[in-house]
Amino acid sequence: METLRSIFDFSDFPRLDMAVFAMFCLFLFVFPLLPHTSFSMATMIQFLMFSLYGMGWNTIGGYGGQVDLGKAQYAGIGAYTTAVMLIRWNIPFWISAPTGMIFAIIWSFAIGYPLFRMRGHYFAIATIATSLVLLDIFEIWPLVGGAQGLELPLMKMPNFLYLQFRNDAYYYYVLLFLFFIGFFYINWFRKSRLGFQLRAIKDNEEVAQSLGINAHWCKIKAYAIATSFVAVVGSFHACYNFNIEPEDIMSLDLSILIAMMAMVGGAGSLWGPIIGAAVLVPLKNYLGSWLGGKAGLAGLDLVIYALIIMAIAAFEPKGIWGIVEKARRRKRT
Amino acid sequence: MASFGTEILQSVVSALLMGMVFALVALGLTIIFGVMNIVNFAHGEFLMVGMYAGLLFANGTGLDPVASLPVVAVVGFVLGVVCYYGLVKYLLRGPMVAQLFGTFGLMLLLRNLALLIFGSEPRIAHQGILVGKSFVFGPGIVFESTKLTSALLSIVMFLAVSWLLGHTRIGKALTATALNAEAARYMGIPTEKMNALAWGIGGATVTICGALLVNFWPVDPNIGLLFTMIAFATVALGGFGNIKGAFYAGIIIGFIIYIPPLWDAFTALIGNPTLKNINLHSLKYTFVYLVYFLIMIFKPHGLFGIKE
Amino acid sequence: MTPLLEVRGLTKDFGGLRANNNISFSVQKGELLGLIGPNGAGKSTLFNCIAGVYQATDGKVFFDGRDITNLKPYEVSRLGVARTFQIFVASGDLSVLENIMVGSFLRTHSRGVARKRANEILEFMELKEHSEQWVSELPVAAQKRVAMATALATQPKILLLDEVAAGLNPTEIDQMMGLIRRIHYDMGVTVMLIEHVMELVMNLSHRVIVLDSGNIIAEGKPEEIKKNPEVIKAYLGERYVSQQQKGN
Repeated sequence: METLRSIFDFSDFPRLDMAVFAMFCLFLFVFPLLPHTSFSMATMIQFLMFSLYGMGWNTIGGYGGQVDLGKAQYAGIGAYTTAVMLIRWNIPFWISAPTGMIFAIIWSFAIGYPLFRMRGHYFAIATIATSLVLLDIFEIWPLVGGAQGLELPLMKMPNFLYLQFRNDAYYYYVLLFLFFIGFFYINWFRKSRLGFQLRAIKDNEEVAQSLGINAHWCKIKAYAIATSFVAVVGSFHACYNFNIEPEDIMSLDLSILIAMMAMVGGAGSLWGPIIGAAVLVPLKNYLGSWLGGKAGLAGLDLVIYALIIMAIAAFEPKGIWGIVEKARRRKRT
Repeated sequence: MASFGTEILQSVVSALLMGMVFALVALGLTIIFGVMNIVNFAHGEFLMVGMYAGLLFANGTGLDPVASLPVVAVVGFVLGVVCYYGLVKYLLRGPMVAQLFGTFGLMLLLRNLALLIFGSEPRIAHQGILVGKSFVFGPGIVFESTKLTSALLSIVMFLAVSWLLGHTRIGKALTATALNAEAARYMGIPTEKMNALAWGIGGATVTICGALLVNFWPVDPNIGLLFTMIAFATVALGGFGNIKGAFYAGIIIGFIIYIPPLWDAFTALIGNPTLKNINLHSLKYTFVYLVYFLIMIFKPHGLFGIKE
Repeated sequence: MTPLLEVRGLTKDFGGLRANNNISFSVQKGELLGLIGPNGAGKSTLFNCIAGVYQATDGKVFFDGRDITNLKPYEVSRLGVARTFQIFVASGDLSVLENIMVGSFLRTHSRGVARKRANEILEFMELKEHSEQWVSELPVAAQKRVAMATALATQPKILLLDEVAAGLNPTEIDQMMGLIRRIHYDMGVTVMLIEHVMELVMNLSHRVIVLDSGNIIAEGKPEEIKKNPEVIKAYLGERYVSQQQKGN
């Protein structure tokens, strides 16, 4: 009962925030009904995906304070589990996605246990290392098609069981559903026992330990939660894209993007990943299409991304939401 | 039989030479870390800058790539210093997360600037006194001039840097800042300038390495990541901040990269070529990443201790 | 009666430096024990060894009859040993109440219960007005109370206080003394405190242990300790230093 109340309890936010969010939700609900191009639909779908990626990352990277640059490996595990289960045994998304999540969690415990002996830069590099190792393995592993990747067979569409649709609007609404599940989960999470403990660890691990908190184990749990989010989105991605390859779904570039959502938007806050995705995804898409049209400007969009990151790192490490909070002089929520 | 033994010996020699090159790549990273406890995610990109710079200089002036070294060193030094004053200085004030993300953004910036300017085609030096030349030693062991020169220069640079740090006033000031920045400040050492100097030296050593590397290793905008990871593994293995350690660690990493050919030669030697594994070759860098991971778990101070 | 805390032959070396040498003493349930000694005597090291932050080089620590010598800090804390830190790095993200809740969460999984208990301690520690503020915004005396409150929220059997009076003015010291008394009597928590502020430790403690250069040089009631020649000798030069330290 208390859990239920907590999921929907936003009382620590000012009314203004909730009003803005409500309007945004309204927009999200009606978007497919408004006139739109396939490009803008694709952008919105990506926005939702990266919001979810970011929300997941935020549990360990934001609330937990451990910058993880290797999350893409779990997107890969999710995506490939769904793909392989579909190709070999005709298993629908709603079973293969949780399965992928479970595999991802198992893997995350396996490497999380040694991984969290490290902190800071060393930890970040180690996350990159593990992700690259898995990428390399997938590139030579026949079961997952090696470097070629896998192509999903087409089923009769629209297909809610296997998540295959011709009309993107269906994908959109399924994803929106997942988005809200994720969002309310994080709202519960940040106020939960684990959420508090993580924030205490992030502030001062030694003091946290003295309060009976097993920091190592808490971090591993948060890592597993982050992993779950990422794996599910990975599974979705497989169904949306119809084909996956290691360089796509497990690359360092994807890990970086995942981390950036929350970092730019405001790590350790509820809105951060959503704000980050809302800024970065359209920026990348529209900038990319505007500039990419002009030959010889490939990479300029990422240059701009890079400058944004550097500016935020140097001047406002708490991200966009941090700027808002400073302006209001309120405490972090 | 003798020819298989030669194969092994060849691999050993190549591993040794490449190892010394890796050590040189890592030298800059360990210096920067030693002086101010920040890790430069863009380190591999600095190397890339050196590679492109060396190529540009050679192609532009028609001179030998080797002649580009002094120029490239200056470019690297300036790059390091500019990065310090333009970005790192501000990052140092922030939380570690910010530092991580800042140099990370730098990495993206340099990588994509290279993509923008040079395009994604790999390039390599095609002519020069070193390129393509080699000499044979003993029972058919080939020493490529490019690798040999790079390795020798690596030794020279390590000695030079060690001497610089130990025997010049500036070097000692740098070491003092590394050991205890606050104490150094009280003694009147301008720590800001020391930090910038560390970045300058770090930048210069790795760009020099790049200019040498491009004689036998093609450069493209994405090459930075691999070398950043190699440099990190090397520095972790040798002990963060430990210069001598970085040298030996580089050599060890060199051998790790050469595990596949060594294994092949070994299987040939014992007369069982079926044990050869093609996949091993694709995984040679994977071993490096694994080494980093394992070292950080079991021996986070490296094999040779931190900050000697 | 089994002592609540028993330290036997505790020795802690740091490389060549012996910070604690063969320390043995016990604390009975319900006692208020003071630990004093000049700077560098090894007092904080002793706390850290008891709390599991340091691994003792030799010797044993027993709590409630149980050998806790090699346990990790969070395990020791779960058994009922709470402590404060000399340098309290203020939490940037959590409010005062939330900080205390972190402590409460050790004994409950429910947010509502944690909040309720934290509020009770908040009031007990006279922090009600600060409940929604960031800890870093508070005056030093209040920050110390937050640290104590957070430790108390873990419902400990023994509370180790590390120089909680440092940097406080006389009024605040009085307030602190009152608080410690109440923690001790009203909450029934056994207390052991490291202190340099003599007035506080001598007035509160049932018993005092004096440490110097890693060794126990005296043990007894406060009146006896005050007159003990060994103690006076150890402090003679230090008296002035510890007075100045009140400034930071």
